[in-house]
Amino acid sequence: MKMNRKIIPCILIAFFIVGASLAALPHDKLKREQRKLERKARDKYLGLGMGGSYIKVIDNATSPLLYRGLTIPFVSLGYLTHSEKIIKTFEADFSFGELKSRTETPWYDQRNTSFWLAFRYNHLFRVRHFAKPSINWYLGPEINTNAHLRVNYKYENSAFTFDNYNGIGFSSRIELPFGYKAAAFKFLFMNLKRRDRNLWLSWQLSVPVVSWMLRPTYVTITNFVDPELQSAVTTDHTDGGLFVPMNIRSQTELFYELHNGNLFKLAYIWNFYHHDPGYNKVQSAFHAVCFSFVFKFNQN
Amino acid sequence: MKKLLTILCLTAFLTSCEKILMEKEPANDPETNFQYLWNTADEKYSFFEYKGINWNEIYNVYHPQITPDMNEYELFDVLAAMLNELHDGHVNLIAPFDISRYTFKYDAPENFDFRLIKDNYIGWNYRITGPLVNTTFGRNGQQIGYIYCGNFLEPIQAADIDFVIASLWHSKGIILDVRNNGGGDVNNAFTLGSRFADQKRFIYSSALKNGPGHEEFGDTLQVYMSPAGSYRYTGTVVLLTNRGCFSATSLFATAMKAFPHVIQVGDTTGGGLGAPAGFELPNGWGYRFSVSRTLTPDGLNWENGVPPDVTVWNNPLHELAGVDDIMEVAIGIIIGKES
Repeated sequence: MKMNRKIIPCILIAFFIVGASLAALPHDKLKREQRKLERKARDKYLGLGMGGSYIKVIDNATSPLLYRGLTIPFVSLGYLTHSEKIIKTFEADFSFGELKSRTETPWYDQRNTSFWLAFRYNHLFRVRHFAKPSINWYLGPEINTNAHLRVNYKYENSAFTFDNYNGIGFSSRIELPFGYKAAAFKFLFMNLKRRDRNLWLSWQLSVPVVSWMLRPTYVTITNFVDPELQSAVTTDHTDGGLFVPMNIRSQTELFYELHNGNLFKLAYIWNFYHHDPGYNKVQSAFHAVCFSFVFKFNQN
Repeated sequence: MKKLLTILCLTAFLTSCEKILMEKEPANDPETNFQYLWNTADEKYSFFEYKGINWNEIYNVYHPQITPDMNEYELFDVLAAMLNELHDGHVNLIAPFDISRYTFKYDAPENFDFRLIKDNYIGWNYRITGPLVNTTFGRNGQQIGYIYCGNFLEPIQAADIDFVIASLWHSKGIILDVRNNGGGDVNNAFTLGSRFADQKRFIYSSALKNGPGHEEFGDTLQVYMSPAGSYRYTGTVVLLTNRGCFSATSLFATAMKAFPHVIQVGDTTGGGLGAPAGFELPNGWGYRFSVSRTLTPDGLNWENGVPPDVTVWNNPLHELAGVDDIMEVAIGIIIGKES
């Protein structure tokens, strides 16, 4: 199956999204200077986290069975620019592990080894406050690519199956800062003091507008009787369009602010994608819990 | 606090939607496994038309044999028998307790005895360079090179073939024996074949299935073989084949036919030019079958075997006397060629 004419409106919409973002840039010199100062004032962070993930996948290219498993470690690296008006995030995630089906017999079945890699960039603008001034709603474009490679030698020549989702869409984020005031209290026989604690909870939902997927061919293999084509990517591997393939991502994060400006972050990520071009349907659900150290590296 | 809980509930609600979004696995019962196997083969196997197989008729023969209370061994026997109707050595059903295979009915003798070759032609003092047995032997005052490649599974390194070609460089001709080579990695076939290539030549074309129709194939790709490596031999090469040559070896024989200085002697190969892909049934059993077809530059389909240029069968009486008729014809071709 090949990409067809429906990709043309998708490309036009992608250009529109990018063009609209560029058009929003100020042209006035004074405004540009003001923007420059605002950019300098934004908090900039670098985060490194580790945790675990749980993956479920049904890939009808090779099997009707649900493969699932805990994939540890899950590693996340992120760059965050944060202010009241703008949030920019670039994140890279990786996880590795083994997936099993319901039929696995240890002495016979080969494990499905899973490699997950994701890159994501979003640029969010504050849209409005909610009931209280401190609750902010952000909205903006997002570019997202995630690749899931699975290796199972049980399938012989079809041992390598993969889903590489690529999309441009929108991301919506709600941020709710909260905290605890300093207080003194007694616990058992101890007198304890609690400092001011600043936290914020955020929830971000990302959905695609234009996306395309890289998948194995209809028969799962490349035409390896020609050595030059063994790893070639052809139009038989790709399919895309408006709103499909579908990829939804939900990210809930709890930030805990330290007194030196650094942060601890606890995140729960859920990513679901579904692709059915009429054959070899694939569905995948990805859950990850990650604890990160987030270092602030500007002086504000 | 309320807002905190709202956000957390939204998260939980969204993630629990995946139970609705993800499709359910199929049942694991004999009927479901049969339907799955028959349908996948129907959509993706590549030789129904070529072999004149009526897959619907085969459904009618085997489906009545499926009962809800049959055990896994009985189910395996029925599914294996159904797959064997494809008459294809690249078709297997793989269960924890057995692997089905199509047993080729050899309407021909084995046509190969390596002990006979060692006792009467090359001796026992041959070299083993990687997967390549190689040596020279004399006949009528001429030196004849001999290479035996018993499989394409083992990697053939450039250094291996460099050494072998260099060793046999001054031979009047080379006998390249691939009898009983059941195949392996196509890359190894190309590594070996490119050392006998005189120039870049079109060796075969190939197409993958890309739709459920029996004749729905994708773009046909033309495959070429070019000379490669530091050492190449473009003198007389006699390629020896028998029915035990299958899969990558049949591709190798097809490729060698493109080169005018290579002559194929012996028996038709076992075929197997289709590339197999692997799948899984709802009960976890693996299975594989051919999903592509390969054609010669003239458009011929040699899935059932690559025919030799010179057909020779070994006479069993001659074999008892230590004579390999196929080798004798090969030697005759080489000695008869002008230097």
